[in-house]
Amino acid sequence: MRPADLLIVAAALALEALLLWRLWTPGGSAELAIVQGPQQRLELPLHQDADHAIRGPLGVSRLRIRNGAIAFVDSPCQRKLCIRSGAHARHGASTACVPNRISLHIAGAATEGIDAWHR
Amino acid sequence: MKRALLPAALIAALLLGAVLSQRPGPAPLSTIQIFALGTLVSITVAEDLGDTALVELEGRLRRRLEAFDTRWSVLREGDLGQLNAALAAQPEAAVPAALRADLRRASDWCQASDGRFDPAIGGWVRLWGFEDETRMRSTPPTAAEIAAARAPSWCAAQWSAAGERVRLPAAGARLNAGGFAKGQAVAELAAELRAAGVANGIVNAGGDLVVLGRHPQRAWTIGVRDPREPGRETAVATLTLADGEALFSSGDYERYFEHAGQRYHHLLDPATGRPARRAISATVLDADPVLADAGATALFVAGPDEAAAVAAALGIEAWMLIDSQGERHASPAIEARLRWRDAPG
Repeated sequence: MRPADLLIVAAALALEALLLWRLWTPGGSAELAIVQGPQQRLELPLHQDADHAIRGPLGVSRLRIRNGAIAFVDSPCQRKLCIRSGAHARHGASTACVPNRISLHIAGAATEGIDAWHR
Repeated sequence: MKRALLPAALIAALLLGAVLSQRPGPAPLSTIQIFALGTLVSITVAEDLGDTALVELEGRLRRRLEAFDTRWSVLREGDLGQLNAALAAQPEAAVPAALRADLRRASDWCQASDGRFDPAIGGWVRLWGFEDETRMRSTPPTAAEIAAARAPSWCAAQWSAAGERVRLPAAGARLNAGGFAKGQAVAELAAELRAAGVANGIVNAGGDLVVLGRHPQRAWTIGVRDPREPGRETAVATLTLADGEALFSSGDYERYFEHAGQRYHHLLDPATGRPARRAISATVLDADPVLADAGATALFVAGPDEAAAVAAALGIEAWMLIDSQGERHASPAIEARLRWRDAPG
């Protein structure tokens, strides 16, 4: 076998390994937070720490991503239930500032775990 | 010969790998979110419908919820608004056709629960400021105000033979569907999904939910939050739900105000007109979302001593209650389904 043959074989084996790795590792992109307001939709990757703002009928709601979790940190609603709901990171988690019509949902391709939260 | 076989073997291996890597993945989970019923309604669809069909489905669900809200809202001039206006003035009224079946069931449940579930406490709900979120109180009403707002119980409703009219002992009743409307709403949304060809999904109205079918790879798994730590993203227990099963809770953490260190929540005891104090949450698992919703309300009011009897009277097998001391009381049927987590998370 000549060196060129060896190169081809090595490249083919590497490609094969890549395909098999894709096959046997759980599919899943990074978790994504979907923040929906009346006029705007934000798709926010949870692996990037950042602060975001979105406007609703009562004013601006603010969200913060830290360490893979997202939380409402300010919202012009009376009872602040969205802030009190804490930080969210898991697929399927949802919360909202209902008076300001801002919803938050964690999307993703999780195939195990919790699909919905009861209360 | 050997030189001819090598490329062929490599090509075969690559083709095999390419075929294997195209394994069918799980159907994508799409989520539709709609503000309705005073909360966020999340609909998970485990079908590959395509963007156009999904947008169309969202429109159908929105219209369904809008019609539902008009029908059952006490703040609009819909069916319930008209019935309340009639019952405020006279003890007998025609019941709008769209409300008859549910209100008839509600009077049956009122009697079976010995008044723990009673939708005719709307006057008190309004007095306490829980009827309209924008007009919440910050102080409780006085005893005289509570006494003055007492109205006939729905347990005393007498229905005409055809079920078109209802008669109460006196005028002044005000119905509030808060104890069962969410159950009816998720049932209607589930029916709408099935009509649209969605066999697998979840309808989740602020944490009260019904499931259709199953997750693409397993049964739907639901995480139960700690009622005293709703902001904590950890489950105190999980359970799997089968097609058509609903899980509803009533808790003192949903709508409330605090005054002088006391929490005044929206789950009023029909016997006193004041917030029921025997439990902090009650949960019902049932194949009927409307019964699950009403049952959770009744069990919350009943408290730990009477919960089993009230559940039996309502035909509910799977229920759980956290009493005012934080102690858990659960029926064998739901205990067998719950997987408790010693270490939350």
